[in-house]
Amino acid sequence: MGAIIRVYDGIVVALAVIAGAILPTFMIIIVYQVIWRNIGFQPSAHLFTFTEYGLLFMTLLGGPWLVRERGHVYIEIVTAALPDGLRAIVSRFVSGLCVVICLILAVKGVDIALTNFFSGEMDVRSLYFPRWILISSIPIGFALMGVEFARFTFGRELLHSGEAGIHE
Amino acid sequence: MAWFEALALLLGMVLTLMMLGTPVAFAFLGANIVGAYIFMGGERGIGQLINNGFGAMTSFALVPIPLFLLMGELFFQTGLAARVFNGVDKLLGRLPARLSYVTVGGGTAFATLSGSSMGSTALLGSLMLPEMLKRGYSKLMAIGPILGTGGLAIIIPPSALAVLLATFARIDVGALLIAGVIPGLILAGLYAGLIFILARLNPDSAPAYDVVEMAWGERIKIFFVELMPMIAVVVIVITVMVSGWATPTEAAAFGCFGVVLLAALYRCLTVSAFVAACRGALRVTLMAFLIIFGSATFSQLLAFSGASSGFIAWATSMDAGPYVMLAVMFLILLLLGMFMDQLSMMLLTVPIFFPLAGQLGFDAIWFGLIVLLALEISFTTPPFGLLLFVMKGVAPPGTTMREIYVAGFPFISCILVLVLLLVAFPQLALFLPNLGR
Repeated sequence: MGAIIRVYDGIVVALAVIAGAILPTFMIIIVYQVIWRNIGFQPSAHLFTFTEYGLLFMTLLGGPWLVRERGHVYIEIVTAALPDGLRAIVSRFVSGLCVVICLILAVKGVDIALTNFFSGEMDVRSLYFPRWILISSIPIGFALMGVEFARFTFGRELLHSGEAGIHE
Repeated sequence: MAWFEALALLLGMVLTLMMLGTPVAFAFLGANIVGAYIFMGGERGIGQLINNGFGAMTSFALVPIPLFLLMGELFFQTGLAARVFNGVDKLLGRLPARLSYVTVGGGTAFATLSGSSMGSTALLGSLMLPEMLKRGYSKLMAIGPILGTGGLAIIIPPSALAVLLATFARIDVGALLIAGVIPGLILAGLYAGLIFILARLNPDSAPAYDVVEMAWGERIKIFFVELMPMIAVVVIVITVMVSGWATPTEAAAFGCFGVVLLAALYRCLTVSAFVAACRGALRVTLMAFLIIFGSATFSQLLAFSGASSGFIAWATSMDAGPYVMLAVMFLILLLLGMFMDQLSMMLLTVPIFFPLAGQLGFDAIWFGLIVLLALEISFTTPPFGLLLFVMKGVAPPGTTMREIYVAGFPFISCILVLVLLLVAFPQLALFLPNLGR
């Protein structure tokens, strides 16, 4: 079990590293495009499209890591006012709610990705790109986010610190 | 379902989930799932939510956000921002309330460069506050300017929050960014004026002290070495946007690239600083983008359910003047700001306030700036203003929240004065964007 968890943790971190690497790649791509254009060449329009796709992949690949890091912004008013025992119950309930939200989006995401796959639907921008590949990032991202929230629901650690304020 | 019932249901769900401590992105997604099920045809509505999220996320207009954040993080992590601050410190010489001015001057430059209110407040709080208290400054003169200038990052470009607001409200990103330049500088001037008056009224609150005098040659050297190159990056970013030479995305990418080059030239571009910068920028980007994932559906739900049109029809039928309505919207933002973060406030109010502002005849860019100023105030509004907590975290032990609230108040008042100035003279905000139109 320990080995599985270590592999899973490694996957979540690796996905976050890919997401992080996309950031400076945006910079390089856009600077290259502008310089190329200004010295009289026509940069590939596909770079523009891949930048847009990069936004989606970055968000969904990095999402699970952000949940683990408690990097989402949330407000502690109710949880901060509660005694420790009750706070733990509310905190686990909230994490459980997030699991349900992630699960619904993951299941529906799979449904849409499969529909797109079987109907051969394309995302039409500067190029035709199979839509199911793009949409697949949504169920994968939300499923992993759901797992991370489940760790706060059933694990030892809580999502909330108990300190009043807005956390991010 | 009547429009007010739909509005109460949608807003009520989001607010309840948020107050329970649900991460904001998931509070919106949860409300969207229920709302989409009710108003958008059951399960198909949830599919629409995913397709909307896909559409919202793959929008090129969002690219400046991670790039501006990366630019700020690089400034911060490589130590370039601290060089600017030290440069301003050395240039000011002997002056009553000198350190408060240094905070406003250096803080404005730093907030501009970093684009991060929290980073700016944390840096100024840990750097300037102990020094000011040691020199006998009152907490009002020490903490107030830090809170004030910390919030400036929102309106002076490059501001990631301004890009987000423009994206949500579907207004020109570049124009909103540029609109903040003159008001931002006026606000920094108002802060300086306030410090001058406070120091005059109570000289003991900011005692003067001797500093080593520097020759003019040395000052000029400091200006050109420690300040000019960094400020040039921001000036170039703004200029290329104003002139229309580059889109906000291109300006952001070049700003980022400029910082990387500068850091390399100053020999402070280390791998660890670069990784830390990417990590910091990624955290905020992911947090914001997951909220954006649900944003398109939330505004659609408000439209489909008739909530936004119903509210606008009701609000405009009240026969109150446009400025009364503006005051009401501003007050609602301030009220929300007491308990909520800036992104949530935007997401809740933009789909209703911007069409209403349009009906009332307000310029969308000008109104966007007013909203940004309200968000700026909300950063420092008790009980949950984010900057208040950052300040508490870096202030010396024994500093109470009450002292922080009181110190921030005169500086918040300066923002209100700026809002009044903008209402009286809209060209303060619109002059620069109109040059580029």
